[in-house]
Amino acid sequence: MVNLNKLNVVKNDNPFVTNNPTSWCPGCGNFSILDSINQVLYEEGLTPQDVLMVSGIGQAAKLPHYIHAHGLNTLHGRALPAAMGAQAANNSVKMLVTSGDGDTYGEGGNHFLHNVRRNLDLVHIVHDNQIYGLTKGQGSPTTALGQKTRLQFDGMRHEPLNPVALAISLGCTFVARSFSGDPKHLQKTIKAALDHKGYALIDVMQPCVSFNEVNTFKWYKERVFEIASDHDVTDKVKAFELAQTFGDEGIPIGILYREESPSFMERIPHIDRPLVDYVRKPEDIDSLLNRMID
Amino acid sequence: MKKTIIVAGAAGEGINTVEMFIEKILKHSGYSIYSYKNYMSRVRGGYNYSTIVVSSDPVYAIEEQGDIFIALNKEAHELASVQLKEDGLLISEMNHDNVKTILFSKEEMPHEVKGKNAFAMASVGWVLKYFGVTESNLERITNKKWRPEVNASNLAAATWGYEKATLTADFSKEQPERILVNGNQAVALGALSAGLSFYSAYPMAPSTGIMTYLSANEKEMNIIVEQTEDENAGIMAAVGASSNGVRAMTGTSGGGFALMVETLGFAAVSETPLVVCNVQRPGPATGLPTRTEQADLAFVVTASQGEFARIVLAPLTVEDAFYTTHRAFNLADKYQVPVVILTDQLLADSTQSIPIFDTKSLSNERYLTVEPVEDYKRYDYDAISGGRKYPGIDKETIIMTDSHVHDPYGHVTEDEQATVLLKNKFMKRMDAIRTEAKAPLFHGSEDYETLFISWGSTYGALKEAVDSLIENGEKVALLAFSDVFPLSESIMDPYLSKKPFIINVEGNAMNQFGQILRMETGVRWQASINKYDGRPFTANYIMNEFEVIRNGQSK
Repeated sequence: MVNLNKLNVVKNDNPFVTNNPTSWCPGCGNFSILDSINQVLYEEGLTPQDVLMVSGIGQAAKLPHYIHAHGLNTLHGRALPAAMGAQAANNSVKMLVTSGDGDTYGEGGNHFLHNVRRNLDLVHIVHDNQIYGLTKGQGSPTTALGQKTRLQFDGMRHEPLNPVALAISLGCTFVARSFSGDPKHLQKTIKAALDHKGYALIDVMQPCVSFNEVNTFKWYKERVFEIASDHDVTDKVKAFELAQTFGDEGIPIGILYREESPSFMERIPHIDRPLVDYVRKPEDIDSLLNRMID
Repeated sequence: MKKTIIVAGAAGEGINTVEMFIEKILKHSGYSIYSYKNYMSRVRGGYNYSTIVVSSDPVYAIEEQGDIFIALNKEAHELASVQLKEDGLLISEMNHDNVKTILFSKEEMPHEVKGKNAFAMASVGWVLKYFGVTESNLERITNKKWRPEVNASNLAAATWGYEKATLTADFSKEQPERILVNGNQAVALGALSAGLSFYSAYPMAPSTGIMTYLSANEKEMNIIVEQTEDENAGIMAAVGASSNGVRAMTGTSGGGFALMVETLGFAAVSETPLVVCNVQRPGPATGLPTRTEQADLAFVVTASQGEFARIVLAPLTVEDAFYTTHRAFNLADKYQVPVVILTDQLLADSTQSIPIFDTKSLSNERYLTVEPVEDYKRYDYDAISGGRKYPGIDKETIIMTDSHVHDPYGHVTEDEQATVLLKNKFMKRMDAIRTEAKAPLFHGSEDYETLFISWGSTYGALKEAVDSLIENGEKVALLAFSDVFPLSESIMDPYLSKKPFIINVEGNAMNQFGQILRMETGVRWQASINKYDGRPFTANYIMNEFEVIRNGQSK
């Protein structure tokens, strides 16, 4: 048995980087996302002990196994409730959630709605390749209408979900889009998301080299454009308008929307330190019991 | 002396208020109380009632019929003839043709008494005098949350009712300090005593009382109570919290537990301590939301795909719900397994006067490894218990919590050997848990010829039935199992030497525990007493069924 934690940590300056073998396809956009996360965490001066990587199930959700940091690899669609509990227990760690479009917007849709409302303090990186990878090529919530897949032989019958517009409408406090083929942009966006206090969603456009023959690296490359520097990220209506732009009319990448709002734990002021640090003993309930005597 | 009071009416008419004052003040005067809420799944209206058994000795179950019946509306008034014993007394605003009635007519009440709750509070006053409570105790009829005028008019009405009563029982008893607590509160308090930090759940009758009690004390106890978007999130958030070092719990009823099943398996494979309380109600699907049944046991012991170690505990009484819940947390931490506490609507909505919980007798065992360890293996295949670390417990160790078959460090593997070693570890855990399981509670005559088998809340009514049968000269005893799964193969051995006639008693149709007992020990029951009408067992019901079984035998 190999100690993957220790032996495969690459002996360079970046303690997050490992040589752990991945189960990703050669050329997958996941590699660039992993490298970008590693780079930003390192540049932020964090250590592996400061970071908790949370995921559900899918190819993207395997990422916590390939990074030297605390990991919580849960079930399909359930990364966010696990993240919520973990944050309640110990909000002194930096939390990142990595999940795919199916994991996040399909199986985990309800959790996405409500954890945005909670304004969990985390960076949520959605590896959005507009297809199911691990189950081999079925349509995902973001697959285009009419696109043929390995299951939808005559093309998708449903309208695709617009994740960034949805997030803005839900009141998500940081909504961004990026592209795995532009690591510089991706790193800049992850850095901004890490600096944000609250729910930071980054929907990362990413090719699936095995199963998505439409949304290829080239397809994205030809369409993505950086959001103009004069875009007012605090203007929700403008951000929502911008979020409607997708596909052949171009795909805006960058921060669409940002606002300051108390985070999940800031809304629980009676907990003034990490919950895990409270010392508890059975006699703590005696005050409650004594009130039951009368 | 033992009397049963029934307070009946529609939801919102003051049943809970009447019940609260009667229980509080009679408990204070030294009586033992056992009460149970019988209510419909609706917000207003309907026909609901509370049954309060008041006795000079401890009480373990309700009776079906009352000695005193307080009718808060016309429907209740009419049903009094069915729900009262032959010599019972009705307290009502109108006369009843067939039942002896204490009449509190509106016209008769003095002007200053005529508040909204006048009849209800006058009934409280009457009952208190009937049970020999001294008049000074009427001052306890106040609620700090209510306006002073309301408290004043309630007191006036109660005093008027008190003065109307002539029948007086002569009783007062010095009792050690006792608390009035229901099953849901006992579970919540047990969890808090164990150091619960985080409770996440979705509201569902009859389990919601656990969350409500915890939420009401959230600040004082420095805990977090989070209402989640669904039960999937409720249990997964608890696992997320537990895997990061705090004691966490979720609660629900059978339908919500059905949604939690996938994460039950995740808790098991990720070896995360988890406590789940399933407050059973009749199923399947929506079933009877506010009624009682013991029909989730077979589901709970096998829930989730694959094979893994788990513990299922079913508290016998309100008092036991406290201590068993506390124990559940220590067991969950020791073996890093999910522990399911199975209660039911009967236990959840039963209030009992019991000795104050002895927190000094408890200790919270976390089975953690705090200091850094060279080459720490979170999922060491040989570690059956203890040795757990979580992120941040020391400044060095990196922790991976994982849902796949994994290597000892928590990383995904498809290796055959690792797969077998992980499974073997779970099976060894199951063996260790079997050995540690608490023996069933034995109660009855030592020379028993009939042995009743029960689990969970059925104990209360069965104990009363066994006591009465013994008084009638029967040679009977009972076994009550709180540790219902897994069972050790030899657990029945001490009770079989006299070759008793075994009667299985359960609140379901399929004898689910009887089947588990047979599967795990080979011991069979010869007859069974079952109840699955959504209502709780009573001693009378069990005794009548026992009579039927005996008559069948002698034919």
